[in-house]
Amino acid sequence: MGKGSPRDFKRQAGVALKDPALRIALGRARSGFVEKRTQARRQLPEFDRLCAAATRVRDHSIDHLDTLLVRFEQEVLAAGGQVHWAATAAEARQIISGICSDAGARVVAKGKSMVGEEIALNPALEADGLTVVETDLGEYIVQLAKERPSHIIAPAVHKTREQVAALFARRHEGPRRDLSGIPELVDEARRVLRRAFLSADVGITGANLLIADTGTSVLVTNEGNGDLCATLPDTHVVIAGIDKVVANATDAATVLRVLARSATGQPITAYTSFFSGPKRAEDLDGPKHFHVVLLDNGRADIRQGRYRDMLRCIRCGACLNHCPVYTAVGGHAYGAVYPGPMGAVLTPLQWGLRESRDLPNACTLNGRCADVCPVHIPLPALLRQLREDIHDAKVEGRMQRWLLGRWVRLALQPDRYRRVTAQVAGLLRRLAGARGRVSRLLPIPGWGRGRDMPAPAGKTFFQQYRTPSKSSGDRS
Amino acid sequence: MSARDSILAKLHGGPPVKRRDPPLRPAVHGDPVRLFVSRLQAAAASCEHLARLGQVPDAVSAYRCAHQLGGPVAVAPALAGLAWSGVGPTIGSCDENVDLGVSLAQAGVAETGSLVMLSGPDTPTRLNFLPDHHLVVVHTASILRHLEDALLLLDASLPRALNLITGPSRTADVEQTIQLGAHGPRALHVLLIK
Amino acid sequence: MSARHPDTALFVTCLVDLYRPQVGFASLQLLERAGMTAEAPPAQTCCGQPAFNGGDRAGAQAIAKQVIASFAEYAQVVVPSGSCAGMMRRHYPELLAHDPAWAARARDFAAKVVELSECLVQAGINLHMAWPGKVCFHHSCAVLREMEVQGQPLKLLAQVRGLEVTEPVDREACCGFGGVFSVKYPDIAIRLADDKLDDVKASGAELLVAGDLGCLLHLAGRASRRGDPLRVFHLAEVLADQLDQPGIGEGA
Ligand code: SF4
Repeated sequence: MGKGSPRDFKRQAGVALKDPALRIALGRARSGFVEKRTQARRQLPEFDRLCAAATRVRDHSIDHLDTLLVRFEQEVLAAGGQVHWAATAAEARQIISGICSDAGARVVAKGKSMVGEEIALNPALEADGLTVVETDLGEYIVQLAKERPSHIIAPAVHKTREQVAALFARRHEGPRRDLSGIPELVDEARRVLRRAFLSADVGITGANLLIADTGTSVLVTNEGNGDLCATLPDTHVVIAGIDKVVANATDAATVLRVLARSATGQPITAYTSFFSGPKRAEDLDGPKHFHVVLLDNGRADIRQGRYRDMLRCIRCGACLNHCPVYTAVGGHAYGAVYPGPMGAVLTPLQWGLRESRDLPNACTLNGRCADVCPVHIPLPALLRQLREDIHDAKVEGRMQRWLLGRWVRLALQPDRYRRVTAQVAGLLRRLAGARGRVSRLLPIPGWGRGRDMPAPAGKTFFQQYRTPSKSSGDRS
Repeated sequence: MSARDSILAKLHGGPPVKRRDPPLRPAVHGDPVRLFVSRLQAAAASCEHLARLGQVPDAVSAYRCAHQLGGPVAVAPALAGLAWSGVGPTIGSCDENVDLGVSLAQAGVAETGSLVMLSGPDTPTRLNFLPDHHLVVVHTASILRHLEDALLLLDASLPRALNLITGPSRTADVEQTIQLGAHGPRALHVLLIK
Repeated sequence: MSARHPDTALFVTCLVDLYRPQVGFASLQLLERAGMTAEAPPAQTCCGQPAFNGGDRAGAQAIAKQVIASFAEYAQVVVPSGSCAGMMRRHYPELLAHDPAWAARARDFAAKVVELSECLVQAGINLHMAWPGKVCFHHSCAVLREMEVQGQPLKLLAQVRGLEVTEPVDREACCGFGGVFSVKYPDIAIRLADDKLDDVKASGAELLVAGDLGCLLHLAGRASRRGDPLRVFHLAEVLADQLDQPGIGEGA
């Protein structure tokens, strides 16, 4: 559960649609997120212009990734930290394994990181014999349940409180406790995770942004778990995609203004932290060692092609929350690290078109995701481009390809088209009889399950229509 | 070729750096201190106005009384000069046994209601995250309008950590229902000094 | 009037041609009533969306050229569908942007395309009709976002005396049609239709109206399978006072 593959999207979506608990959980999330973002937007008159400004900031970043990353590296080094570059997920895992073993680590406390999910970090560290504890509550829940996050900012959005309570009761030691309410569940997790923070030798967090000018990693959380990961253990490791860098603090502020509002509707999260290197000599606390791992994993290639706009993404999750398909099937159906519209673009680019061909197609192109994306990523246009790539690479279903080809040829021959549509209208009419709709023996496979097909009442429009200008003379 | 070189080689060749539009900031109307307080309160923090810095220890005592806190207190060295004899805190960073941490904010941000906490020898970071109750002293004169104003402090001193704190710790990870006190402080109380 | 050469063309759309010819005739009638001389050029087939959204760019380009050529002589092209109008106005120019022979023609053509309700409001039509009842208007996504037509359908419906007009609470939610999507991913499409129909039901309306036949076939098909006593019509049929005729999916 929760670890499927994009190949099985259809089946996984079918299973998800039949899960009543999931429906309740997703319904709650959908209305909550949408409502809160709408309010946040209403409360800030400049919101749309700030999004445009954030879009320009991110474009500037993507244009100048090379110089910004080099500058970032220089500044981290100057502050006493270390920077590691990883071209692939495997390289990133190796680097982090190495850091942990150099630190003599046994316990690793992790803050929520989608890049961590992308490189499948936890299994690798566990294979090294480390105990890895996810400390973001949602992430902790999915770790206990041996699932993957179903949402990029709300990892356990698919679970109800009853499911979380059952999970804690099963997996936590000690006497039975009251876990009936959300406060009790949160306290329970706090108690267990406190121990993990205090015993951790290494803290690993993601980064929402990197600031080139000061070598700063920016981390946005509401729980404060990321800050504990970055403060208590002796070693702090930041993992971030190379796309995350911005030029300076002003640019960071511009992005932060629209990030939380788009994600949770907050003007700013409870904690927004800026880490620049290890503990200074005179500091009373903080990690002695500070590392940043910069991950490419396909981003540089994406930058060179026609999906470049996707790199602006700030992982706010708004496109997921407003996507009708995501909110119907949930994140696990996608079978990928990144779900929803942004995931339907990223997954085929990172994992291959053939594997993921369902994801760009499972979209009504309704456009709401692009409307709410704070950095104006034209998600439907990118999804359509992916469909073109799938078509050009001939990896779509054979039947689909054949049907589409026939349809196009027919559409290009109006006279033949007239004859064929007249026949189809007649067929539908006969199937429908007096009921006006076809309920069985549907000529279009896929439609009939759950829907009738309204039938035409008579002949086609063009069978009935006589052009008035023909009867009223020439029209030269 | 190292990963670094191969990645940078692929990234090479962006367009020339252009002059960019001046950054856009939302309008901050009226008195920044009032806005700061209302934003903080909206984020579930409580606020209290004090006339002088010298009143902080009494305010801390009153807070402990009101919340029936008998456990250890830790105070940031930046506030060590105050008359703490009635509270009897440790001065410095803290461990997990401390109930209440008292720290000093370098500044506040009116736009978001955020406290600006810089790490340093006089302002240890643990105080901000480990205790259940977090009391923060901030001078009203230090309240800035915009996020950018606060982030200038990065360029100026580059502390290990700059934490913008806006309310107590919270989570909405169970059923999207907001619950305070996820990992960090369950309560944030701000003492504003004229 | 009839001696005048029509300067307005109706792009009937493939779905109207096949499934709901009365929408085409109602549209022509409304255009005449708004003072235009309109006709439906017979060389038309489909706007090319199935190809465009199915990844067949070359096919979509070929169809776009055919449409542009067959409507060249008209001053304005009216479309009783937000998604087809969006295709022609927004996507034809970008599809043909790099074709030196067609780029300018595609742009000129796009400028002539109007969605039906948009056109009727511009022309200042006066409906003079009454219908007692309650209608829920579904804004199709293409109309909302590609055409940025927002208030026009409601303005027109407001002219109908006695008609109470509501919208679904989540008015921006997609109904799940999405062209080929509704056939390729029927289970998801049906879930979205159910959400929309529940929303419509909660509004208490007995009529469901929209400006896109695709959405309507999908929603009417689902409503009749569920047994919802909902009557479903295209906006053009309502405005042409044809509510006494059978709705979409109703028998004669
Ligand atoms: S694509 Fe846009 S809306 Fe979606 S997560 Fe990225 S930034 Fe947010």
